[in-house]
Amino acid sequence: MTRSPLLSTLSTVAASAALFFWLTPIAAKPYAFITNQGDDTVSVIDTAENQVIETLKVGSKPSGVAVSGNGRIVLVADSAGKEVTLLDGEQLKAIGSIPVGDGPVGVALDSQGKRGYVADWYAHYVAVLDIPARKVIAKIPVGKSPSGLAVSGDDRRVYVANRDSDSVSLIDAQTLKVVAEQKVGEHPFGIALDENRNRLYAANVVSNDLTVLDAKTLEPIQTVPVGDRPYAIALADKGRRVLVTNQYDDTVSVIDAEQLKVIETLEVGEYPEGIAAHPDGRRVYVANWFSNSVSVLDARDLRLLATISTGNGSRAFGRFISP
Amino acid sequence: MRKFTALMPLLALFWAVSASAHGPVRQKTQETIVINAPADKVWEIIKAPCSIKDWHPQVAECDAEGSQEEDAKRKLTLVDEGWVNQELKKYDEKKKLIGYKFNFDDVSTAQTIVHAGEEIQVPMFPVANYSDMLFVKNKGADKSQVVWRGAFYRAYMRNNPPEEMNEEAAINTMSAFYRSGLEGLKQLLEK
Repeated sequence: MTRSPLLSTLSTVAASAALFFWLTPIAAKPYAFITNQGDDTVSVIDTAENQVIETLKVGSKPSGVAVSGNGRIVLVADSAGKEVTLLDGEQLKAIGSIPVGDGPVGVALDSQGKRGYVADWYAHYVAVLDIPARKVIAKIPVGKSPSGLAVSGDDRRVYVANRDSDSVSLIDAQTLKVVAEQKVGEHPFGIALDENRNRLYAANVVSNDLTVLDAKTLEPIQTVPVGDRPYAIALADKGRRVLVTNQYDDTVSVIDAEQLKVIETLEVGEYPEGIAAHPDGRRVYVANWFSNSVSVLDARDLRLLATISTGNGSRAFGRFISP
Repeated sequence: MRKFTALMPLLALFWAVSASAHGPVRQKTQETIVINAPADKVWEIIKAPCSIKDWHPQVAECDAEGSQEEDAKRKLTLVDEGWVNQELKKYDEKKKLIGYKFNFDDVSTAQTIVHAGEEIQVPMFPVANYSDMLFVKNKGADKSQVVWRGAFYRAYMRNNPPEEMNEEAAINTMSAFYRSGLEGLKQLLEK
């Protein structure tokens, strides 16, 4: 078989590119940042290898975690430490902390990692952080025991689940005012925003269902029954698949977004909580609090791909995978 | 015991608005024991909802309703008169696993304390949103390992808990309950 000069040049280029790639010591992004509440650490998973490549010390009893839209900043809620820890999402190291209120749980970041949001479980407000200045710039009173947070792609809207008020609130990120509040099921904890379909999903821990809302008006669209004690939500395959962790069932319910019903229930580890989708649209990572592990699911083929050992009490509540 | 009657209306209001909140940090604890008996034999005992009164030294009475279905319930009365209402959460013949759940208003009050200027009722099991699993693993012809593990929050729902209702109290109480139960189970099976 004779090869054209162009082809052989191309394959040489490809080979050296591949070689260069293999010699590059920097691990491939995206990373999954898993908070381990019992160890006061964050396990960093390189999702290309599905291996923990770094374990970072953070503050006391970390639960919530969020990566900025550009992947540069990671915000960790130190639930018992009355502070949040900031990580450099590329260098994989702690770069500071910001004192917040009494019980930081849910966290979120904007697209650029300039502004952060922290839901305070005890004081019933969302704290707004200026990340570069390392300070709290506002406190927005919301419902009781706010938990899950979501920020729109244009950074203009912030959503929060008010667990003990059975409601979700919509905050205008410019005026820092609550512009709408809507009752959902009992004890909403995790929320997820699908901007393609203009929908907000809320997982209701006590009523064992998901409330589907219009993301602009918060008008309820439908309620979808799932498993026992649903905690958190991830959207895969451009929002076609909605995945929910069922903490008391040790499973994840997979919902088809068109039919709005459960099409599959996948077994994961014990007490799954945090769940986040990989930018490839297919893989979904689940933190198993009792098993001290992360389950990797394929949201399209609906199967378990891998289980990764992490630290004690993995919660990873929030958007924990970098883009 | 002094009664702070002036606080009662306030207290009632407080219970009404926050009857189900808890601290943000979930706890877990686990106890295990090796029993010189086949796993099948252990499972035959632990799967029956009210056998616990035969093997747990702290359980005096047990009343069960429903079968091994989703909504089966049982009430355990303890030797010191306290009680807890539990609901079956998990039942798996294949995994030889049974699990119950309860919340803090399903538990009798052990004592009333004054904390931060308020009367607080301390539940006998100072936990909230409790769930557990009791399961047995085959370790050979005449040997099995029994595991009892629980997940829960502390019972005090606001910041700065009293020591009777902090995380440590929750873990210590449940660990001791599991430990004495497993030892009782071992005694019964190795008789």
